[in-house]
Amino acid sequence: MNGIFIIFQISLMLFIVLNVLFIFLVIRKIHSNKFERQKEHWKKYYLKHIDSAIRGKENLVVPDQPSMMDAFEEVLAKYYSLMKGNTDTSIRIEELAEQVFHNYYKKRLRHGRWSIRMNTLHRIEKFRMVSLIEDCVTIYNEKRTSDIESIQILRILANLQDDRIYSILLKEEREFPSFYYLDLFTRLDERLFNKFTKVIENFPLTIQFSLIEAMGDRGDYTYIPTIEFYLLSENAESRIRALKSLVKVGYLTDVEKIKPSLHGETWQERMMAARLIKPLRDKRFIDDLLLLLTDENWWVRTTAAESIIAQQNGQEILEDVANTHVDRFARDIATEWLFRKGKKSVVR
Amino acid sequence: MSFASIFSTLLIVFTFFVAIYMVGIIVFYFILFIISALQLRKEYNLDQYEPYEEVAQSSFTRPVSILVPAYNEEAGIVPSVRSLLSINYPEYEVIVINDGSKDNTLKEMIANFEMVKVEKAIRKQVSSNEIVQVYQSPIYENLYVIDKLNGGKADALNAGINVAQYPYFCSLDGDSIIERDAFAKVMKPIIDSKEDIVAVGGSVRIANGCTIERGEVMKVELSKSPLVIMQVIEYFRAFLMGRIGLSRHNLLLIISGAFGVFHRESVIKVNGYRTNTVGEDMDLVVRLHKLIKEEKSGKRIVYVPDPVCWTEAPESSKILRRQRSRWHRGLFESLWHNRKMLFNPKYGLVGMISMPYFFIVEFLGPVIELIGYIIMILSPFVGGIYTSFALLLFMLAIIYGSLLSMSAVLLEEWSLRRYPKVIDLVRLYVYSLSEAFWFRPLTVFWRVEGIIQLIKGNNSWGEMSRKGVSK
Repeated sequence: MNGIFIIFQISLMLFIVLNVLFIFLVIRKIHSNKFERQKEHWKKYYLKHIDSAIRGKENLVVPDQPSMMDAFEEVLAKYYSLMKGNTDTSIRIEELAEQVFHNYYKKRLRHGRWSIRMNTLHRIEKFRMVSLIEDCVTIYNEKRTSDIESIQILRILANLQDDRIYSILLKEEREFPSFYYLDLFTRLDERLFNKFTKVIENFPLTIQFSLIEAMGDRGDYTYIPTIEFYLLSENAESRIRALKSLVKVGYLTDVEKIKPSLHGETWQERMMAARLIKPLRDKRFIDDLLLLLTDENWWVRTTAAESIIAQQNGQEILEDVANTHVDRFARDIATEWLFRKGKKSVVR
Repeated sequence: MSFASIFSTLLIVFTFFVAIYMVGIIVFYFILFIISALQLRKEYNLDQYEPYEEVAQSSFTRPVSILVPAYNEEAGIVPSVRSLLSINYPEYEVIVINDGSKDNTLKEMIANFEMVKVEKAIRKQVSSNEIVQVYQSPIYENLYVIDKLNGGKADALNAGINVAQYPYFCSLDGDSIIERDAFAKVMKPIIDSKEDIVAVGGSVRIANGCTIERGEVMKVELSKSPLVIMQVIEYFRAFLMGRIGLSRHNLLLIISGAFGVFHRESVIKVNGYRTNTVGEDMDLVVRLHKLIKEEKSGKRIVYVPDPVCWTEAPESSKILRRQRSRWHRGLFESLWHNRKMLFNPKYGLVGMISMPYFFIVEFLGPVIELIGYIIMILSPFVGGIYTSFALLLFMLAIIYGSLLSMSAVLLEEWSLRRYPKVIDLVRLYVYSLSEAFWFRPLTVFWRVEGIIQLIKGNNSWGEMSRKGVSK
């Protein structure tokens, strides 16, 4: 009987708590819907007047309540995206953002909730708010700051070509996903990027890999010697990244350097090396490629065939393989590529 | 011992058994609820676009193959594909797999996207039924249709895996609508984790009642049908309460077949989808867990609440009943095929918590609940103390059925807030209050029916009639 009474009490209590929460949430929803309507109203106003205000033809009502602030923020962000490339206008938008948002953002960077800090960091990046960089760098070193926030701060620094990104990354012990390093390096201008590449070996391996790839992505011939240097690296991943990078550039000074990679231990290395021969169109490697046609890995075989068919007399070579080669895998892959080349009507 | 005393002893034993079981589950759910609430709150009001901008635009993002198995989907396939072609993601291909449809699914595709036949060398990495022809669209060069002999959804997905060329693939139902930023959102955990994730599941929401135009959800509104509303609440419960909590500890065993992203090589390693089951989505996830544990790779399977895929829910009880008994059979088959993992410490927490949870709570739960209902009905006739037993179970059933669902509704409103209207929130709340009185018992009967069909050896899918969600 006692147990029943306890359970009854518990369920009654839960029921009451839930109802109180429900009422609270309904009231909050009514408020937030009202807020949304006000925000919509102000968005319309700002959308209508932003253009002439930026040109200095009229003065905007300065936002002094949260719904206006939100509306202004959204409109300005949208307008800024539209005006990308127009330097004069962009500068004026940035000035306006500094004026209106500086104190607001400064406070929100210290907010207890992660999502609000994150949103603020994104806005600071968007409006290129130089005045808040110090605050961001301070936050970077705080314990509470998550990896994602740190990455966002690095991105702000990268966009503004701030040299501190270099010193921070040199000291950083955490390792971020390579996607973000690549993203950061593509944002840097030549001066800052070269600062990294000059001392590439002082960075941890993940950053080195990303730098190798980023150099290839820039397609600039001046980086080729550095990339080529990594072709002879002890580390297989470095060699693979260097090959990948060179595929993007489509050129290298000393082709002999890729020879060992054609017979590398991992299939990724062999495949990347085989792929690099396609843009090089170097006859000296035909024999190596023919050997790769019998590789145990499908990706290596198919890439080798692709590179052969791109050579001057590639089609004949593959036809020969398809008809006479002793290895069945080699014959299959050759047939497939001859088939693709001849019949594929839609090329991506 | 007289018949009456045996009966009353049994009644006491069963009552306590059912009561302890229910208290255990209620506690378990509340723990999950708290984990989920904390997680969701952290991301409350996070900007819907900015954090995903670089994922959606960068050329370093991993490309994805989107696989859409279609069997008799002529009503919904074209708008679905259109919505896929407008998603916000840098590099992807859409592969529609026509699984020997008897209707005009293939013709609709060919007519609307001017599909032309192409020769494509197919690398058979997982087994599937014969592929008759591959088509490609000259208008959208990343759109393919595979025409194959019928072999079921799992077989169609396997064929898609063979044709797919990217490192990750996404399985998607032919009649579901995906939000434009969903792919950037679902791929973000993979990038953030340095590709340590083999599978990601997103949320599935019910589209009935929403306004959908040209394959895009324009206005979110709650359906008027009570059955649909109950399903909406059920999805909140399953996704927001269950999966976030389980995902945090890498215990997730289900990624909905309607929307999930998988690492292709890993799926090939476990030989793709199992074709002789009606629960191929859960089965795959269980086997991926097995692979992770056997390879000791420490990789993860996660659920992310925000990316949303909208799907049509059955509106009639007849079809809902079939769906539920089918799901239940699927659940059993996934557990049965992987029974080696159950209570096996070699498979870590998945073997010791997830598998037992799915077996005891998800699979046997309906039987225990059914016993509870029977006791509730019988006890008052016996009278005396047994009436209070009935009362006890009744209260537990209300906590389990209604109060937990009410919490799930409030949790949604507290965090994601996808339904803008106040009246929708009120209706959701009131309906969730009623769950213990009609919907919960109904689903219990349907699932027990699934168990009975299993015993009888029924493996049919049950026809699913679709009317198409898009206008």
